Amino acid sequence: MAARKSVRKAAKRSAKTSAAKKGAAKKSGVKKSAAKKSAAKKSATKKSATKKSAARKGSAKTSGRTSVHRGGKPVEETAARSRARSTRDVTPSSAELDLRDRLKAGPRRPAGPPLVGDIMTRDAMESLRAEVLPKPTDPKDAPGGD
Amino acid sequence: MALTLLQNIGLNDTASGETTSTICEPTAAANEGQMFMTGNWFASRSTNAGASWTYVNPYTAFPASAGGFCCDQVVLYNARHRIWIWLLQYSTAANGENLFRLAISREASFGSWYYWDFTPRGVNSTFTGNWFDYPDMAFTDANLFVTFNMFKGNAWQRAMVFRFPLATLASGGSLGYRSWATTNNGSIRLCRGPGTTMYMGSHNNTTQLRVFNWADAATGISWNDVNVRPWAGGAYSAPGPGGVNWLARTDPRITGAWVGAGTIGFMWTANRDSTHPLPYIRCVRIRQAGITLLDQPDIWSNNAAWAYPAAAANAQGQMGFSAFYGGGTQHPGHVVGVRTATTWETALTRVSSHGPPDQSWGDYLSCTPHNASTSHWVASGYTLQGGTSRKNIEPRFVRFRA
Repeated sequence: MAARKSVRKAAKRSAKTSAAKKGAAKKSGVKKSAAKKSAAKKSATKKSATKKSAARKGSAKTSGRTSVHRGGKPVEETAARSRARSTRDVTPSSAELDLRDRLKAGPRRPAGPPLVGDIMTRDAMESLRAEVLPKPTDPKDAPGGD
Repeated sequence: MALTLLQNIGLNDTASGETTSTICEPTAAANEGQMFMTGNWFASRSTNAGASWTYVNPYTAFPASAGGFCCDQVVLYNARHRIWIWLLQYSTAANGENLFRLAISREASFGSWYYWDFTPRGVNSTFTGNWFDYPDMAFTDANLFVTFNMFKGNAWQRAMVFRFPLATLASGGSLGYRSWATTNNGSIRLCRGPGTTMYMGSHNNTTQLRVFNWADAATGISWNDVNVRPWAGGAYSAPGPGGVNWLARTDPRITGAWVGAGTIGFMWTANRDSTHPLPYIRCVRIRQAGITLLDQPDIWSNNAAWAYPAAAANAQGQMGFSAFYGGGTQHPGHVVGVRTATTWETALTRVSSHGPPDQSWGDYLSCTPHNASTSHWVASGYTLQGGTSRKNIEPRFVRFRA
């Protein structure tokens, strides 16, 4: 019975919280659109090579909060323990490493948001027109030196 | 003063345990006569300034946590705290999650390690089924910084930045650390060079970089966006002898970053375009004061492609780099170089005798200041020697100065 009551209380609490969140979202929606307009005005008037505003849509932040963690004490690894560990059990065979080598040689997985799409801006085109190529660089031969 | 190679050492099969890969991803560091080198899938250690090397098996050096040792590694030496720092990435377990391990060895007991493990859910309990990939590691005066991409299956989720106090890493005490995650930028690269602020970079798009900064004294991270000359990505091609395209796996993520003498710099491999006949190294230099664009001294050639740059400032703030050069009449070769007041000085350390059979190379190199020769750099590289098998990969340790 007591358990049922506490479940009901928890449900009420969560309903209140979600209602509060919806209200907050509405409020922040108003603020966000105002912020977007002001950001657009700023970017229209400012034409410099360096910006202190984010290029990504909807992100005008220039700082972020970090999280604190506890990692505890380190684990000591003794040479004796390392020697005692069975190489046969955990080291892949040469044939398995050959397979891993072939697998690793495949295409890399995309590691971040897509980068393309912004190349045709006026600033970018002007930058290309103004490009002065540095001289080509080819390395000199150096002695093997082993 | 001309670029000089002081040491140019190819690791033999004994030193690498015959466990090399054509995607070698080598890194190297040095502390006087102590040297350490990592790569897929080996580590190797020298205590006599490179005269001899001892294979270190990364599969057995530590317990086989998560799915066991996987692949990506980075090694650094921190002179201020006299510690070696070895980062290892582990494979995913059945739940799709892996971990990364930060192992520390003190200069006085080089080769004896203690370590901390970091799991996705240890960072955030909602990161279920996530795994870390593509690490970078660098330090400021007080902190070690580590970056990773995080995936769920094959889908990129976010980029992460970790900050660990070097003093605690050195003492082996109870570790408190900070982290930051973003879904707006991937593959964040850390600047190597002296100072109290860590600068990091990532592409916003093909015309803009985001330059992050995280000061030792700050608990938050902030950033500036810098417009750069447009560049192209896409499918890279630089056929060498026999038509072997060694850049089939290449992408445009930033691979080289440094800070020194008031300049922040970023380098990456850009694809051919109307003014560059072959893939080349885009280089962007930014004034540290005010984070404004300084110049863009790209490294390119009409004869061969440039790719996979890694960079660092030495103790004097001068920039050195490690990269590959190949295509046309030449198989991939390893190059080191420096930026002088007006130009690049570069030298081949070794050229491959063959091209990679799977048309893939990479994915990263390393360049770091030497301790304790303050004007020197230590670079890692590799080439194929005598055949096309993964066992023909010869990792390379190079020490150079301007």
